[in-house]
Amino acid sequence: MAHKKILSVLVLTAALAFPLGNNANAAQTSGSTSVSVTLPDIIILHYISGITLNFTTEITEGINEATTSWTVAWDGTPSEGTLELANGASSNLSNAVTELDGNPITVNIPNVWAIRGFSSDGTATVAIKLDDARLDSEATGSSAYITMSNPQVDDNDGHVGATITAAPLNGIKKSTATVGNVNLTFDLQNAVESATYSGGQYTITATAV
Amino acid sequence: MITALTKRFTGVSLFAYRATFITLLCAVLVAAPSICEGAPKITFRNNITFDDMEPGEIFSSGSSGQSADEGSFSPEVSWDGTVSESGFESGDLEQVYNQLTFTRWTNNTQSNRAWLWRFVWRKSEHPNPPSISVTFTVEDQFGASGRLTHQSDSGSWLESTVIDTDMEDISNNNRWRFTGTARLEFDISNARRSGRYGGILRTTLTYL
Repeated sequence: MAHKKILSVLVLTAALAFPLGNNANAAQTSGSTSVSVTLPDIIILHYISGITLNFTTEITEGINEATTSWTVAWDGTPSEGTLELANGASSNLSNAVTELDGNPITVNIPNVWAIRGFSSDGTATVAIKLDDARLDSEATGSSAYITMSNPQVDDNDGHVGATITAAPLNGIKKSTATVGNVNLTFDLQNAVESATYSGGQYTITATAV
Repeated sequence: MITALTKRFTGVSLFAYRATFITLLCAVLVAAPSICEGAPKITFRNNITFDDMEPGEIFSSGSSGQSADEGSFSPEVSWDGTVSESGFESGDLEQVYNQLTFTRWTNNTQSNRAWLWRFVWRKSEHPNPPSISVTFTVEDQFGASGRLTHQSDSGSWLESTVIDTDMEDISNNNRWRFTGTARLEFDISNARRSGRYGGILRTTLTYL
């Protein structure tokens, strides 16, 4: 009787095992692979190819240079006055509200260049130089001119100068580009007439670090 | 094993012992053909270095430096040098690239490897050709899914996706042999730096 019980159990075991062994079960295994890829330096410079600065506000100012007196001969010839202006000298003229003599104008031109891309540290060097510092009057026969000097780039991130380093590139998307300014100083001492002055040129160079 | 079984069943009759042994033997032989057949040998690459990205894959000129003329600008200027207008905003910038993605196969035409995975199974143990399916996941060293990250800047990363796969049958008379490759696409929109980007490609094979 005991033998029959053992046999029954074992046969049952075999019967249960049979369908298990014939199941076509899918097996699965996975492996990990380290992958790497290298990006090159990429830099994009956006620039404005033509800038016209319009000094549109007229300067009209009357300046009282005080009073003076002349001695006039009976033939109408005046003697020298007692003040410099009366003497024909201009060196002691009073300053105008906007005094351009000896005071070049530094113009900060906002958002006229932009950089984006990749470099090894994520930044770029940006430099500006004057290719032609002189702007000549377009008036016929005129010899009037304006001189540019002291060009600077400003990345709006604390870097200002003729050459700035560590200007952030921020990747290649337009929306994250670094947009910068240009500072130029204009000397108007030889601009003796109202006119359009042209011919000046600067070049900006951006280099991935 | 037979000796051990014999010893264990010394307390029962010879009939019970024989019945037990025969039954267990049958059960093992019938129940586990997959064990008898042996598992296939599956190999995955430890590492793959893709060919460097080329500037020409972004710029049609092939040069790594590009410039864009944003036109002219005529602002009004006050006599103290103040310009109240902006030349442009970032949203106005010209687009100077053709694509923001590039692709690489894991095989040796675009990487240093011939295949990503290999499957070998003896025909004597498995007479029918196996059915194999493959899935992939990508993650960076920080566990971020779908990314390869710059080696020295975690804020600079490539979005990486497996966009294509290929499997080659190189079976011979004795073995089923298959190799596989994958094609990855890399989106450079969130990259900040040039240099090496790394991560893990996990390949899962399911076979029948």
